[in-house]
Amino acid sequence: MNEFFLSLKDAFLNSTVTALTVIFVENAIFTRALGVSTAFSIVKKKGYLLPFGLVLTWITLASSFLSFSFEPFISKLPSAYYFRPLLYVLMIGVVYILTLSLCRALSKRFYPTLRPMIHLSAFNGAVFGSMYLCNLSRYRLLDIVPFSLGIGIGFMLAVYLLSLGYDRLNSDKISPSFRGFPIMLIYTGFLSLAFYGLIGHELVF
Amino acid sequence: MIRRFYQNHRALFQKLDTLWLRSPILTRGLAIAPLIVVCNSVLRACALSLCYGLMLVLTVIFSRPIPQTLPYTIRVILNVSIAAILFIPASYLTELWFPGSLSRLGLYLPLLTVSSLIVQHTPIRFHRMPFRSMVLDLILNAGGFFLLAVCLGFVRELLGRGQLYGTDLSISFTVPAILLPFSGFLLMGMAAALAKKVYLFLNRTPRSKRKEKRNHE
Repeated sequence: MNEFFLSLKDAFLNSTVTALTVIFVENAIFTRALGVSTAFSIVKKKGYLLPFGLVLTWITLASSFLSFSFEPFISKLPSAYYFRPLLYVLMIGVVYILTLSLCRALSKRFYPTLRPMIHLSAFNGAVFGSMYLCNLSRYRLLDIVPFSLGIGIGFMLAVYLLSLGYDRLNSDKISPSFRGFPIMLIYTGFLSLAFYGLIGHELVF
Repeated sequence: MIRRFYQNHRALFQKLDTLWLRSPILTRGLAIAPLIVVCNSVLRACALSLCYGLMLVLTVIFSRPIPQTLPYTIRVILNVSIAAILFIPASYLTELWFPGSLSRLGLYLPLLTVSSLIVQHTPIRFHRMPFRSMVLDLILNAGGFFLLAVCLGFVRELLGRGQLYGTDLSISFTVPAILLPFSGFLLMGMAAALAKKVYLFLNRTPRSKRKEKRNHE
């Protein structure tokens, strides 16, 4: 019994460390630029941040779980590298349709609000990249949940940090040629530099 | 003089603006992630551009017959599936012409499959254009990506490694940090600002006309 609780404690600690690392140290946007164009489009609509983050977290979790389940079959395929994107796209497609159907069935009130967010987050660099990273890092089933949660929450954190500067970076005080997208990229670059300082080395991709 | 020439031939130049000044990469950040992270040498830039160009042009052309009457979700899934199928020959050709590029570009090569330009722009922009304009726009988009990638790769390889297309130039002072993603963000920001500056300059009304307008008001 004691051993069971010890292993449970270990699993919990490992999951927490994985999630915190993915959120704060290996943030998908700042360290790997995954889903950066989506982040820039979401940053303009501040009310979208939380629901979009939740939708993205769910789609990442479900897709990563599917890719983990099918990995033994995929890795046995001859030239698996070439076929992997197609199989991942089909998996995301299944999750995409399932999420839309579930949303429509469960909440007719929120469906019109959530639908564009589902469209935007399904085939997203963060979701697709996380499926690859799960495979690259050789995560076990127990690590998939904290990793996917970390990707989603890390995405929300990154968009929140970007939204803090958005209004000021779009004001008249900024030179017209830098105003808007160019200065947002430079601001993201500085935040990325700060995150790089936490890791101290380049991440694998 | 340059501005007057641009404004007199605005119709022609507006078509070509996608190549640089109004490129969706520099104005909206579409398909920007591979450029920021892995595009730090001319060789990588060429490999990335070849794969991207092939995938973008062929995906949009092959997905054009998909009926517009189908729900948006299904059309998007079909578009991305076609891109994923075309990734097979495109990445094979890339590896054939630039050996070792698959491992060098890592997950950023397959990531092109879900590039925002393919996922979002195909059904709402490209498929609504006449065929010829669409093909021209696609070629300009791919060309814009190539130009930007090569310029970025050139600067980062030269300053970060002191090399050019893998050849050592024996430069004693290098800045290896320029090869990292944060420098990619900063350089892309500078490139976007430069493109916007030139665009604003070319589209500004001449001073004499502005004065005339002010006097009229």
